[in-house]
Amino acid sequence: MKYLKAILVDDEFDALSLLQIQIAKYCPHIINSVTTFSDPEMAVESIKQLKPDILFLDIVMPSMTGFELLTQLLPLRFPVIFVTAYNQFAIKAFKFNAIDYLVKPVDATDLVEAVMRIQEKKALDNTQIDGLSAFLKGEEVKKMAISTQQGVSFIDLDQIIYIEADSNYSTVILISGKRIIISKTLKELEELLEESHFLRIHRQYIINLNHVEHLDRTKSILRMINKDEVLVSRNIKDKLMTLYKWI
Amino acid sequence: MREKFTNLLLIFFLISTCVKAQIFQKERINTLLTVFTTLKAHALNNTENNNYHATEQYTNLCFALKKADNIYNSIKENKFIGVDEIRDNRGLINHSSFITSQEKNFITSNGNDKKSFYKVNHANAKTSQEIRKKNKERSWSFPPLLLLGLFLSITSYCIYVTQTHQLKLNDQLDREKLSNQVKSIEFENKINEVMLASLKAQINPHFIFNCLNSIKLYIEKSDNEAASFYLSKFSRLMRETLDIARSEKTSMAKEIELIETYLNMERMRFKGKLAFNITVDTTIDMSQIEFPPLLLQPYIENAIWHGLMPKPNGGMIDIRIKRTIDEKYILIIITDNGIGRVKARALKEKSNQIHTSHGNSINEERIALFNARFNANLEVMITDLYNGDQGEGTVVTIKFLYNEIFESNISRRRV
Repeated sequence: MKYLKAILVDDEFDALSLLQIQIAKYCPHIINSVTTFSDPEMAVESIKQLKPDILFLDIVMPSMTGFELLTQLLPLRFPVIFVTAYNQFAIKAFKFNAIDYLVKPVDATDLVEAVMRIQEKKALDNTQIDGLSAFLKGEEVKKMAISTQQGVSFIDLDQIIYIEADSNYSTVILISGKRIIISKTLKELEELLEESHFLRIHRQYIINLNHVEHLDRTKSILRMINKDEVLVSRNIKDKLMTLYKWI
Repeated sequence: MREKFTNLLLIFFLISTCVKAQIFQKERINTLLTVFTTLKAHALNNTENNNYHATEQYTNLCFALKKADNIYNSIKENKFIGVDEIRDNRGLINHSSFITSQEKNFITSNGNDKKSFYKVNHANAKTSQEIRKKNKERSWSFPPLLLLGLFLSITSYCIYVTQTHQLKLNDQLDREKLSNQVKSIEFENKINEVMLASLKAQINPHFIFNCLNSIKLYIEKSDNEAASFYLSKFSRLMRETLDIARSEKTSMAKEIELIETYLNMERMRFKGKLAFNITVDTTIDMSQIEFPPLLLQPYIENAIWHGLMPKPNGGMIDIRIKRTIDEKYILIIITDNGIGRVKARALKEKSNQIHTSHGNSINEERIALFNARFNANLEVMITDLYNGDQGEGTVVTIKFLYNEIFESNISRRRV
């Protein structure tokens, strides 16, 4: 098995030292070479030359953000793991685009898992980068990345009719009739989709508000455009009515 | 005021018109009564002197009477005639019709009852005179009544006006009271909001987790002493931040202590990139000076983050607390030798950074609120330092009256 070459970029020396120590301690069988940079500008040039197998990247740095750094390295030929102290917004962006991230102080188990995953992964997809920058710029999100065993696939949000809960998994029902099973709970998906045109109408369902056909008020059943019928919670029914301005 | 005046004028005008019309009416009626009696007397004379021309003369007389009746009717229809007058005048009409029938009888009976007719006529004239007299009396009795009415209406109007004015005043007072209450609640809410915002700004999650990350490094490196030292400092900073954020004011001494702890933590994070220096005038008793809590920290964080850290070798923060030459004011001068605000702004725009510091705008609001609440005059001035064309640091100067004890001007519920 081939050892990996890692580059760490963080403006804080302590963070660099700590991650370096942790990598040496917990992933010695995967990563055997670590180079650290506290100045993002210097890092850009070195990364181009060193051609790392993996990049650990801080987001908030005084002279340049991690995202900026990445845009200077396009197209990416290596996977990236973001490391952040606290940035809920960025974390949401990562989740949406199926991008790996770690929070500081980094937990050893999280680190090992992330590195194991990365071994099987290829470089960050351009679609992932585009999605990320669109998200961070506050543009309307159109696609959601989903991690699968084969890699990352993207679902057009407009194609989703509804999502059904299935214990720790969720089933996404698309307009094409295709059903995709993803390893995310409905709760996680709800957090991701709450700002888009989606609404959790029931313990079991998240629906695309643009693909509703009919509401049976007495039975509290919503018929979607593919004629599937989904249940509506009593307390959500009123919200749904106001969303559509029904009387 | 003008409205009231015009109202009064209008009332006065109406009343005076009424009075005038009444008087005018009386005159017309009196004139008419005179015409009646004269005509009747004339007719009687004529019939007495010449029986033979009676028919012609009586036709004339009747014509004249009819005319008089017409005039009378027109007067009767006039709205300004009082009820009493109408009744009296009706009686008069009855009289006159009685006269005409008597006169007709006289014509047919060829003057046999001359005497009785005269008598009747005489009596008639007498009644007319009485009526005239009565009317005259009544017309004199009217002005006092009208004056009384006028007086009453003016008085009632005055009462009405003053009462409505009073009501309006009360209403206004109530409204003012209410709006004051609303204002003070709004003010309180504003204070709480700003306090919360400044607390959030102080306990910047990014700062907290990076501090913890640094402490974790010492543990991983088995540098127990350093780990223990920074963990204690960090705990103290957190505790003091939480305590201080709950109070509206603190002492300068406490605030500076907190800043020192904060700077120590930042120095731990940035190692050799950050140096700092705090100098206090020996003539200042810091424990006696009151200050809004957590006010300095955002300025210092800005200086570190946007001024010093973008520089490859970092820089220095100098905090100087002194009195003005006239000894009236205290100055807190925070100087950094960073890249300056112009460059920092350019960097920020270029990077479209997610981490945006709202510290300064929150502080401006806090100072405004503090000044309003305690009638204080805390001022902040930010100036740029230059070395030729190059920006070379920023100076934040906070100025306020020396030995100012800030007394709240609003009683506030403790939450």
